[in-house]
Amino acid sequence: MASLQTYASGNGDERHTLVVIFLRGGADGLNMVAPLEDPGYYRARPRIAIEKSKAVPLDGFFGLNPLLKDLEPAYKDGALAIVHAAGSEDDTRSHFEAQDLMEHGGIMGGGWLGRFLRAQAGETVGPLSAVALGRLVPECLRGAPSTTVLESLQDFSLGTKQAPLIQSLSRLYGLQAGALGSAGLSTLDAIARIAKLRATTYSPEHGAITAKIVFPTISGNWRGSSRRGSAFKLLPSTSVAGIRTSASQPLWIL
Amino acid sequence: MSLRRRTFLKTGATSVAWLAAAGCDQLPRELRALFPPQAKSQTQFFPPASQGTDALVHILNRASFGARPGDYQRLQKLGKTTEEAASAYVEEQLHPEKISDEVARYAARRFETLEEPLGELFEYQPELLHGELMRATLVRGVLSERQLYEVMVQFWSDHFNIDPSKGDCKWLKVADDRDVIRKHALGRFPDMLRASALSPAMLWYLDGRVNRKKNPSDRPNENYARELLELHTLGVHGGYTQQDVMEVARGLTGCTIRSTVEKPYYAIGKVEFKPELHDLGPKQILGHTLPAISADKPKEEQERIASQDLDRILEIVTIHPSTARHIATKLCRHFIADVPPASAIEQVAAVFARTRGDIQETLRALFRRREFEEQRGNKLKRPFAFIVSALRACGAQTNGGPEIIEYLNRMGHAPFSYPTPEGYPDTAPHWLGTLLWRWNFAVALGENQISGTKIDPAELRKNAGGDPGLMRHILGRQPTDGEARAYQDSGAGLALLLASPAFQMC
Repeated sequence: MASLQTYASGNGDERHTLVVIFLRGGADGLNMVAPLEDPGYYRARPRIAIEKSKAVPLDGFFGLNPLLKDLEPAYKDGALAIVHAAGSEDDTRSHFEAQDLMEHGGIMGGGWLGRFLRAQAGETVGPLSAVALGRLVPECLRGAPSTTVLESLQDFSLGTKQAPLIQSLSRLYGLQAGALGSAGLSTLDAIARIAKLRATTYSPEHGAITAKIVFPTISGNWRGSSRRGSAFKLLPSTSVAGIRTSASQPLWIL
Repeated sequence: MSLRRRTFLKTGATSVAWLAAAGCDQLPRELRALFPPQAKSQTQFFPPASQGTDALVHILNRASFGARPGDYQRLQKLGKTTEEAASAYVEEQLHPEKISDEVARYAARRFETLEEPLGELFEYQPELLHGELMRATLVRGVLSERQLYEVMVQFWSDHFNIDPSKGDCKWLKVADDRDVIRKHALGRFPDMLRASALSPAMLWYLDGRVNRKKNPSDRPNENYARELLELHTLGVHGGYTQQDVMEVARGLTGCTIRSTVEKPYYAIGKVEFKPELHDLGPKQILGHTLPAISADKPKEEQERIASQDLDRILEIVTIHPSTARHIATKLCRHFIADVPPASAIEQVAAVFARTRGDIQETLRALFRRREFEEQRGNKLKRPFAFIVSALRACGAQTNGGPEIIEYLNRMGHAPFSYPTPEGYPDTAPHWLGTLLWRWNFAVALGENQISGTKIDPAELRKNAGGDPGLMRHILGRQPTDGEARAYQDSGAGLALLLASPAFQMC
């Protein structure tokens, strides 16, 4: 149990940001990352199996679908890890049952991320510890201490006419001793930071496609059904690579 | 056919008389609507005036979801001093059946599904049931006169937490709320525990319904047994072993829930004890022995003894001293401080044990504790309490609509939405990240911008006696210089008060 705790809370080194993107809809994992050295794969899929010569080899056993070629550099750099065959055991063919299973991490209570954040004993929780883009707390975060739900950066504000209010709050929470005071001040600090972000123009690197300002949105159709093998053509090849900025090195887990 | 005026008037009068005689409860309500009672915030009222939080304000903060306009002056009359008035208020609240609650009952009537019998609940969409349950709880929190009762309903809902999203719990939680929590919230703990153990929602949530011993190779499902000992009674350090958990699981085998495929369909959801699925062997639980049920005995005798295993087990765990300690600790954490003082826990546990789990007696003893009276303004309000106390303080009329539920969702404290059995945490650190949404709610409420909810900020300010009175009403005491200055400079008045650190605490 002690080792599990260490695993969950890390060894206190530099903190990273974890970005979790749940691509809703179906995807054929075997078609995305094919087991090229498994004869069973070719037996099971005589017509749609990816040919060894066409696939992008990864580790000598698995290979990428050629349409996903742009992920290869990330894999080779060690910035991308792929966990295969970790999908749903749910056979109802219901998207919602399957999604729930994924977001809960099995038949368990609440979301897997929520459980992880709860287990982070001793971590200070701030308003931006866990941020979800959308309107509701997503299932994977359910049970987390302090989730902030935003549809846009405009959400993280007290409105445009509230400068005097913010100043007064700043005074009152500055006078307040203890955890409540510091929580208030860190919330105000976060509001100020995000207001500044909203005001600056942001130009993404590596040709990533963004919508308006700041929040880079990943556009395009992600549905990867292998029925005709051509769905992946819609994958915008630049935006995946574009998310890698030079400032941070996020770890991508596919 | 011509109708003569006299006939018309006579018929009209007779119908009204008939309706009144028939006891149609619509009629008095409609007549009352012609002479609406003065809403609480529409008359002048006198807020508290002490420098610090006095005893009456303190009890209103803890034993209720907060004072409404006029509550303070009304309750002052209950005693010569604020301490006496606070005691009298507690006594009054400990007998909810004697408190008339028309307004809340009428407001909650629109949530009709909550009155449906167990079998009928399955006719409804689970989202509707969940929504009505949440909204009714919110509306009752705001409008009910039986405030301590509503506070305890929330406490026990967390203690015996059920996540409606699992299986049939979506439908069954409505019945659990009604028949387990609301039935016994200010009653006796053993009664509530038994109702919970036999609640179809709980049997679904913690797998009691699949805990059975049909074949010799069957192993019991110890999910409920574990949470029974760890969360509901003894507590995690209560002194039970893994072996005890398994033995309790064996003793609780045999409860099933009627499902859709069994006739008669109206009995769906009903809990039935099936002796043939019960483990007949001897059980050793916490030093007590439940003897084996001999197969030599006649069948009826076997059934009778088997069904007593459940009651015997519940008795064993209820009278265990760790249970009194565990419940007392949770109550003291809820009402006194995040780290409850050991002396208070000891005394409250003693009363719980002596009265065999009488919740009213236990609470009476708790509110009399010196530790309770001394620790004022040190508990952070959880989001639900914050929202309800804000609505009450503003004298709001609300239908508990979706917009407020959305705030609660964003703050992670929507009722009946916590995923794991231990229920929503009761200490501050978990909730400190929700400040932005509290402030947003304060701004929206202060500007009367929440749909389905209505307040009149100008009236409220006028009736409280202007700015000084409004500050004293919301804060429950005289404002400090810093607070008064901040209020003047903010230009936001009510919103600032509701967003202020003082209002986050209780």
